[in-house]
Amino acid sequence: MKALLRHWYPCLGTLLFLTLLSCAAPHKEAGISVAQPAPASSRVFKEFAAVIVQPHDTLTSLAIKYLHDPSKGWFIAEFNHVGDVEPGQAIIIPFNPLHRGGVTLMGYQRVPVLCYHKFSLDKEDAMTVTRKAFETQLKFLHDHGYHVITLDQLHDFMDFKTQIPEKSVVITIDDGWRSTYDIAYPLLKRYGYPATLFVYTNLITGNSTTLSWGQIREMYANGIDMQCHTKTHRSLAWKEGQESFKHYFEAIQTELIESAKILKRELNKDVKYLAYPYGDTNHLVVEVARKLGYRAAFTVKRGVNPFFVDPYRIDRSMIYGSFSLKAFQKNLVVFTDFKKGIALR
Amino acid sequence: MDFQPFRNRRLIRLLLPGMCLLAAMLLQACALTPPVKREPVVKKDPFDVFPETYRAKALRYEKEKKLPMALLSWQIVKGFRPEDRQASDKITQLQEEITAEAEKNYRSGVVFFEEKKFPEAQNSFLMTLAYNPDHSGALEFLRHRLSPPEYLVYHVENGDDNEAIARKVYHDKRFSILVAYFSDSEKGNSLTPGMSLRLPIMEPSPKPEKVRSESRLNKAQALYEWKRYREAISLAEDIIASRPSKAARAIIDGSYYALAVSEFRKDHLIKSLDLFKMVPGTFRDTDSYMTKIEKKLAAQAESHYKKGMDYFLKEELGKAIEEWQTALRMNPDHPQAKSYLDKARAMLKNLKKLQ
Repeated sequence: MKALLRHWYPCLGTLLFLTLLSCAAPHKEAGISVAQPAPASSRVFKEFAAVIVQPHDTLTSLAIKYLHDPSKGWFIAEFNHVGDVEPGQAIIIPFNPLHRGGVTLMGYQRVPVLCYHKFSLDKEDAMTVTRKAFETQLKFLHDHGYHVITLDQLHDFMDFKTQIPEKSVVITIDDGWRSTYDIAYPLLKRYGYPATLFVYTNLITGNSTTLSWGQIREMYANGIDMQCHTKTHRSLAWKEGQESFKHYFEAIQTELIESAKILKRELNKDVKYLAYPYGDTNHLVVEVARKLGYRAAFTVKRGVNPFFVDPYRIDRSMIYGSFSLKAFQKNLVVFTDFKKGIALR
Repeated sequence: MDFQPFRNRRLIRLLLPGMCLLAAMLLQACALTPPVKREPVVKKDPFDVFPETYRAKALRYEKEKKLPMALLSWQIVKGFRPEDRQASDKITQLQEEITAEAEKNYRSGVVFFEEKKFPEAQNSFLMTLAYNPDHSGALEFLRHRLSPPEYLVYHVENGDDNEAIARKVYHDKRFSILVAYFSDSEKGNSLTPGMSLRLPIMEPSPKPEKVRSESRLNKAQALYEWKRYREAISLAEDIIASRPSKAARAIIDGSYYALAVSEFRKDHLIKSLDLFKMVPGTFRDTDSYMTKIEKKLAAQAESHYKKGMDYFLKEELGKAIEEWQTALRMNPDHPQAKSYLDKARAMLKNLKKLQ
């Protein structure tokens, strides 16, 4: 008997366990599931995705997931009229730009391109902006919802391929003065703003007032793009003194080719954009730049650019050291209303 | 404590069948109890919010005549409710309206363009694109036709070479280097009849004066920054000659001031004074510099005056005249230098006559 009981104990135990398990299982005949799977957080359609924002979602993560571009968070924010996303929010993410080139039924977008030269701790003159003034200007852009975009983004906008943030601004710095590294660069980094330095390569000597290639490489690796501002900074639009046409024409080519070669050698990058020295250009210079493969070129004519601006005569507004914040703001027009004014380029 | 494992095991063996029986009875009771009839938990679909929200938005956009946004909103509704008749009808209707609006604006743009009303034409073409971003005609007008072409196109003819084209296009064979460059014939490409060449326009297109002077002002400013003061002055003076400009005036003043200070540091006092005279006295510390220079010059003039007297007494009239001339350059108001200079010159003249 004892032996029999010893054999039965495991069987009884197993029976008990199984019965209890079946007792705990859901009652299938009720037709409900007590523990349901979590609901989907998005529904994707051909033209858009509808998303219920989850706790881990951010504008950037949603932009990566649905638009495959981490920089497009602003597009989601602008379409849904939100500053940021919060869990539980129901948002739509369109897959295509809605206002290519910033054109709407109300008017069209314009992009200011700001142009700086030198910076200083205290001294200010036309070409030199103090650190305090520059910081105030960057803070103004940040606090008033401006997006600082790159030249490539500007180019895509001008190409009528895409849409950029409604309040987009480009920051450029000319020449290659040391103060770009000492003063402007740390502030740009702090605000996370991209900028483009138009370098004239003969200036890059690394003395007390000019940049070195080491400093340029460091900035280039950290969000400051480097583009062409010629080799010697001579005016491309005018012949010098008694210069023959042949020499003048060759000089234009040399200025544009040699500087590009130096930037390629030092940074291993192909330049795509040109800032004309003194902002001077003419039909010949434009055609040479185009033939050499420059995608766009910048003057220093004060103005803001619609998508259909001539890509070889893009306006840039010089920001003088004497500018008050109010004077600075005047350069930040980002939209032309059809009703309020007709502005030709 | 008296621990008796043997006795405990026996006790368990005795009690176990009873426990099993009890468990079996309980389980049976459990199994016989009818299941609780629970109502299915219908969780609200969080996506239900979209179609109705966007239906309302679509109607609002339609009212505001924002047709493309209304269309997108109806498309969102239809995405969630494929069978929604209203959404389907609205989409069809809006697509037709949008196409019609785009064409209407494009036609207006062309009419404005032909009437040379370019700003109005521009806005019409932009409206066309707002309705239909793929409208290539409107894009072409905005990009290329609303502004005059900035290049010219030449179609190569039989017998053309670089020089012949340069003569035909530019009326100047020197520009054959341009033809060679832009046709790639300098790289060995041959000019074949019918080939299109894009060539730069060489006639200087007059820039609007304002643009031109701003560009020149920037250049003057840069020259000033690079301490090329003479060039900065020259350019800024050109600017002022065409129209008044405070900024150009400031560049001129700043440049003369910088040059004057530089000469002062080299102790070229007369040069420095002449340069300071080009600057308003109120510009930085110009007045103070000028006072300093005038004092220094007065002292030096006195010294030259005295040297002149010494030569005069030694009857070295030529050297005396030189010294007094220098004294007068340094201090044109020197009280005695002028009269002694005149005397010495007269004496020298008489001496020459006697000789």
